[in-house]
Amino acid sequence: MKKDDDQLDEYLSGDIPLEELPDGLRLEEERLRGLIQSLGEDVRAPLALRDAVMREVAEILVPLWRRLADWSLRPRTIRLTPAAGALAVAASAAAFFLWPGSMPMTDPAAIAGADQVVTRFVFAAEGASSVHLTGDFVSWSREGIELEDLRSTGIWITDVPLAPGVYQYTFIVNGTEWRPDPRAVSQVDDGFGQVNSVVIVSAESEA
Amino acid sequence: MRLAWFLLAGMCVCIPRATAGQDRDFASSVDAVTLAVVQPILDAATRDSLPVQALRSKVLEGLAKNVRPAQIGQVVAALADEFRSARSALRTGLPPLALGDGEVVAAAMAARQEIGFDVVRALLESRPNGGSLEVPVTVLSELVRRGVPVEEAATLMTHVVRTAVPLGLAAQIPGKFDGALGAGRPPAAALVEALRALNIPDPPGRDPPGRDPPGRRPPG
Repeated sequence: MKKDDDQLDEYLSGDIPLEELPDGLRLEEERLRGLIQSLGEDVRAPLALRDAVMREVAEILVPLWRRLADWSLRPRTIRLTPAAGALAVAASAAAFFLWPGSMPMTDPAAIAGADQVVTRFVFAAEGASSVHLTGDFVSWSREGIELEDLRSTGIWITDVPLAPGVYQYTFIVNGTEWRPDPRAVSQVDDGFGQVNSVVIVSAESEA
Repeated sequence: MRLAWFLLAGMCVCIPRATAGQDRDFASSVDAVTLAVVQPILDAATRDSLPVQALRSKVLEGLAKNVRPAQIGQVVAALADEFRSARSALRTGLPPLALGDGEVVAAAMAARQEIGFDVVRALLESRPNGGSLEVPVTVLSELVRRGVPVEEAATLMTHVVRTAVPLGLAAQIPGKFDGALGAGRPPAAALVEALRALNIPDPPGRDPPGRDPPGRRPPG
């Protein structure tokens, strides 16, 4: 062992070459050199390994909805006074029943309900640039509901969901001309010197 | 406690917004001059439980048609008077009768065709359930407007209501009647043809012109 240490000192001091070391020391030196060299190389993980790691990470990450669901479903104690509870119920009921009634009715198509009947309005106006429908079901808004001449034939059409009832309406051609519907069930004096058309809306199943 | 204040604040926002929503929407759609003219009429109509929404609609219609505020006021006041007369007449001499706004409006429009309120009231009394008769009363008016005698039209519509003919069919009677008139039929025959087209049975005891009595077949 003493001899090996001396030879190793001489080798490390540069007094003897590698080849003069005993086989055991030489092989050990060559293994260490190879290891040191490998540390300086650019080592990359194989793609298969990276994909496998990312799959496992994805399974570990919990999505936000899942965390929210866990949070909301986890039992917890809420302390509430009777007054606060009553207020909560009243506020929920008020929001549910009363809020929709306060919204202005501007677009009937957006408020179609189960009790409404889709009613078709048709007006012939060849060469018109626009035709709008207005009436008491849209609070006589001048913008009203725009009809479409889909086939460029001068036949303007729109479908409007309306609750069963009787309505007065008229068409506005090119934004200025108020024209009654010649196909309407009836025309009535509007009191202002013009004529309104009448539509009777009734569900087929209604009796 | 903070939750209670939060909920109370929510209610303060929700409830007034909901109950006053329509008023505010209407007021924001009407100029100050017109509003000053029509507001007293609308207030009185509200006190008398008249169809206020129909009156508001007439105001908005006048504005959309660029009518002067004074004329809008006159038209709305006259309409309110028509509603008031109709509602008062329909409630007179009857047990507590639930009258919908649509029915009051329809009765007022019927009165313009010189259909007496007693006729409308009889129609209202004939309904087997509490459904609105806005459509039947309107169809009655349309038939009278087309020349059908009041008595005959009223008999038909009472039959329609009593036998629960779908209102979707009843609403088509005036249009079918127009079609038959256009084909040259006299009013009485046109009404029969309209009912046939819609598969609505004749009222009992009526001997419709143009229809053969039972058991008698045309020659050939």
